[in-house]
Amino acid sequence: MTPTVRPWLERQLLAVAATFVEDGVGDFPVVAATATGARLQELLGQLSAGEVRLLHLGGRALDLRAALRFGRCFHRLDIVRRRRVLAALADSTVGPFRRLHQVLKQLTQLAYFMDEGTWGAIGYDGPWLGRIDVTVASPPALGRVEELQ
Amino acid sequence: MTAELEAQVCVIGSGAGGCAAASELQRGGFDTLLLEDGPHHDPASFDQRESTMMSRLYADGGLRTTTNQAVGIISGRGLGGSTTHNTGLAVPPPIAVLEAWARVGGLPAPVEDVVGCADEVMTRLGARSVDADEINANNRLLATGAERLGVSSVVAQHNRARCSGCGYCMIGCAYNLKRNALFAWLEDGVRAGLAVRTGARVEHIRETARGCVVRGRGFQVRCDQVVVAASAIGTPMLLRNSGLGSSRRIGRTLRLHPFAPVAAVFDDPVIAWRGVPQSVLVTGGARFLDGGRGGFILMAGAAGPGAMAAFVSGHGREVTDVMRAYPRLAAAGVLLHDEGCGTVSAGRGGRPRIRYWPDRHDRNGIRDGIRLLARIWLAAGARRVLLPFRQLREVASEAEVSRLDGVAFRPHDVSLNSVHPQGSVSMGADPAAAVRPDGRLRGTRRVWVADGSLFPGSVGVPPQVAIMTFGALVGRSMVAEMKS
Repeated sequence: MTPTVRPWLERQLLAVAATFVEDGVGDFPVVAATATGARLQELLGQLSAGEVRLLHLGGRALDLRAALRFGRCFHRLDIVRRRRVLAALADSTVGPFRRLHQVLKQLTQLAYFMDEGTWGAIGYDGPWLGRIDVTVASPPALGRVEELQ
Repeated sequence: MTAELEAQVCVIGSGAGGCAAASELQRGGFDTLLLEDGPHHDPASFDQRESTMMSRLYADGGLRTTTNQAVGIISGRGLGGSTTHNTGLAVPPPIAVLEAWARVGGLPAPVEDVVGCADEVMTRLGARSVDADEINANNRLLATGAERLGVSSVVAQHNRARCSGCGYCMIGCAYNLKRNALFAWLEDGVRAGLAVRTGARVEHIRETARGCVVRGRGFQVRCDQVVVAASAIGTPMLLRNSGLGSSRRIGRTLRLHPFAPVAAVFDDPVIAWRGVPQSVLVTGGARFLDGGRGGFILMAGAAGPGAMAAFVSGHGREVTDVMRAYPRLAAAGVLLHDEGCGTVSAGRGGRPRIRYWPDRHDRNGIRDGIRLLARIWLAAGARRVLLPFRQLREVASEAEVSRLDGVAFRPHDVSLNSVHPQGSVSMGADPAAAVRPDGRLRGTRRVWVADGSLFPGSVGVPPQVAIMTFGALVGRSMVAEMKS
């Protein structure tokens, strides 16, 4: 069963993504103009229910830190303050905070840069399929492989 | 409705070890059924995009980690297992490692027979040295830097027929040019009558006096013998879920072969994502090749833009500055011959619970490797070297490399990945070892293991050939026993 991701967490992850990648600067597209949200949904769909629960808990912790320090929840802060909150997580002496920082960073940067909308900004020319002719070899001769489910 | 199936031998898992064992058993005259949890991928549908291929080819969508999320673990999912998405490196197991394993009874045959079988595997894979014109700029820079420092390196052998050079091996070859386990083993097995079923998630194995019953979602298999080859993560989970085996070590001797990435920014374009991804192996730090303790191999590690970005440290401009230099980035990493162990057991919802963190000796080994790789990139002309440490993100000169010594090496302070889990159900003459030297699980009569779980330690090199060799030899050992 795909674990449910609550809308506030989605909103928060998009704000985290925008903070990590400094979107909209130069030719980097703003997160909202890319499919980062959809990519994040797909990635979260791969996590176990327990991992998603932990992520919700981490999201609450992020909001709490933002509120204690700047009086507002994370996604309502300006980018400079959001960056301070994330940097404080990374530099924390508390292991679970550093862990939260790493998970957020990897998920959001993966989701943003795997999206085609960002490739122009980083000079990545994308897949060959449909652009470069390559002779395809025959697949292995396995006959019909039956699927049980 | 439960599908009822029957076979003389049921092989669970179709990666490098399972395909080899199943093929040997069927060709040895035994009616064999190969079960695979994942799907049969059609390469014609591989689209060369991380966003779609990671979730299709990798277990848990490529997001599998240790329980504390400190080490990312990539394992294959689907017919062919990790041989579908590996980079095609065909490296035989080092003789010195085999000799060390032989001393603890951890080989399924004498050393010379294992070497002979590994040669056969290389032939089946169509292994050949990468041609000089196939070495891309990323690997060339690695070799150049190593040469300038007087560190030895070799050009690797690969199981690719005539490579297009697209560079998407790690998300599946869309052109069928990588000779994976399906080409190397399964074709022969199927030709001999091997039955293959995908979408077959095995949940339990029961051994009785007259045979075994393999039970999964919607199916049940009755057979005489069972071979478990569900990977170094899946095999111990299944054995422990089934209450099989007498050894307390099952799942407690996991090696991860950790890989620490180190990238570098050059002035000129590198375009590391194109060409054969890994063609040069820097072996100067690989003490284990000469019978020494520990050590590492340095090898290229280019990645797609998403995976590369996930490695980049910092926030905001620090990230975008590095990613803007993506075409000028060279990337490699330290592959450690780890000696410490982790554990794997079944968590909730059938997910693995993996605990692993390198011990002090292994951490020192990784740090030594990172130091050497940073020096190699600088010797090759890098402007700056991007490190996997959170507290020291980059260095730009030899003098700065010494700062590595004092950097914290705790979970989440350093980026570590694993693509070669192994050794979790290890083979040995010691009665406490999980598996006997013939491949049979201790405490059972009809259950065998035939994948990288068997390794008595970490093999130190990319393990595809070693896993196939162990799988084939266990298959042959079973054939010999069943015929007698």
